[in-house]
Amino acid sequence: MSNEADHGPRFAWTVTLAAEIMTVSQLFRFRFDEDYLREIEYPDKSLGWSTESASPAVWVFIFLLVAGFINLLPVRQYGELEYIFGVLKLLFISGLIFFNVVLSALQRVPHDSHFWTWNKPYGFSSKGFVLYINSDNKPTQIIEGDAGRFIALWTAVTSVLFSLIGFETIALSGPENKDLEKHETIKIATKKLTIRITVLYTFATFAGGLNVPYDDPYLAQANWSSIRGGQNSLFILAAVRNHLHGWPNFFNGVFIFSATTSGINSLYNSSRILHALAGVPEAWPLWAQSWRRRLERTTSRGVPLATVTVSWLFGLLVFLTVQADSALVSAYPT
Amino acid sequence: MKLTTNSATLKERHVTMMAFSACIGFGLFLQSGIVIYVAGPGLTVIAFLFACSVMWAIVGCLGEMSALFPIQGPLFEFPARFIDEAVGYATGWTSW
Repeated sequence: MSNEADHGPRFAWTVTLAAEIMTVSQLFRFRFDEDYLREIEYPDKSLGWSTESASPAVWVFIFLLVAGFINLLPVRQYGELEYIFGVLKLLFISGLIFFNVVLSALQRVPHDSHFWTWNKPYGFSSKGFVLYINSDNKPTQIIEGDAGRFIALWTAVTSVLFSLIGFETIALSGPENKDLEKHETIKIATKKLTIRITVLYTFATFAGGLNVPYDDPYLAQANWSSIRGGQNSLFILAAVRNHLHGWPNFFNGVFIFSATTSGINSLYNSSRILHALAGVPEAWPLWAQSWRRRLERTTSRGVPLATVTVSWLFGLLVFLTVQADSALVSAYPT
Repeated sequence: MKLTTNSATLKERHVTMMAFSACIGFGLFLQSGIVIYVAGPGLTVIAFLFACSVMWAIVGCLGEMSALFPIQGPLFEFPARFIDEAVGYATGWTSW
C-alpha cells in the first residue's frame, strides 16, 4: 500500500468524519507485542487495553452518536464547547513537547548521547525509500542514494499536508461569525492559526524524534499496515521506550479524545458546506429543488438539522471497516 | 415563513479554536511517526516546516480575500465569482 493510502481517505468532509471515527475504533485496539516489550526491556510483561476484544462496531456506534448529538447543539454552545476542547488539546500538545524534552534530558534508559536518534546512522535521511513490500511485510524494493532521499522528503511533505487539513473551518464558519464584517477578523484568525499549528507541530515532532529511533518496528508497521493503533504513535513509543508506567495509557486516551473532537468538527464542516450549497438554486438540478429547500431550513436557533442529518448518515460508512479484512475498503479511494 | 439563516453568534476566539481543533485529530500523533520512518528525524522537521509554509500561503490568501470581501461561504463563492460559477459549485460539491 502506498504512503498516501495510509492516513485514510481525505478528499471530502463527510468521509473525513468516517475516517476519524474509524481511527477512534482502531485506537481501542491498543496492545503492544510482548516480544517487542522484552526487547526494549520494559518492566511489565504486557501493555495494552482489554478493550481489544470488543467489536470495533461498538465504538463506532457510540462515537458516531456523540458526534451527531454535539452537532445538534445551538451554534453558540457548540462553539463554546469546541473552544474548551481546542484549549485542552493545545495544552496537551504543549505538555507533550515538554514531556519529550524532559525524557530526552533525563535519559532514563542510557544512550551514547542526548541526540542518539540523530547519530545512528544519520538524522537527515533514513537508509532508503521502501518501494514495495511483499505479503510477509518485508521490504523487497528499496530506492537508495540521492533519489531515495529526495523521494523520502517528497513523500514526507505529502504525508504532512494530509495532517494539516482542517484550517478551512475559519472560512466555513463565516455565516456564523458575529465579527465577520469587522475589519480583518478572519485575517487575524488565520495568522494565529498558522503560527500555532506550525510551532506546535514542528516542535512536537522534533521533541518526539529525540526519543524514538526512526527504524522502530512499530513506526515501520504504521507505514504499510491498514490497522494502526496507539502503539504506532511516536509519543507513546517514546514513553514506552523510557520504561514509563501509566503514561502510554493516558496518551492513548487523549488521542481518542482528540480524534473524536476532530470528527465532531468534520461533521460541522460538511453540514455547513451542504447548507451553503443549499442556498444556491443554480448548484442543484431541477428535480432536486424540493430537497434543496428542505436542506436549506434551519431551526429557530440556527441549526441546519437536515444537513447535519444527511452528512451524519455518511458516517455510517465506517461500519464497512469493522471487520479486520475490510479495512482495505476504507483505504481504497485514495 | 421558513427560517434559512444560521445564527451569527460565534466570536473570533471560537472560530480560531474550532479550526485548530479540526486540524489536530489523530493526524499529528500518528503522521509524525510515519514521516520519521520515511525521512529520518532531521528531515522530518524540515518537511514539517515546508508543509506548514504551504499551508501558510493558502490560509494567508484565504484570510486576505475574506478581509477584502467579507461574504458568507467564501470557500466556493470565491471561485464562483472570480473564475466561473461551474468551478465554484464543483468546489463546493467535492469538498462536501
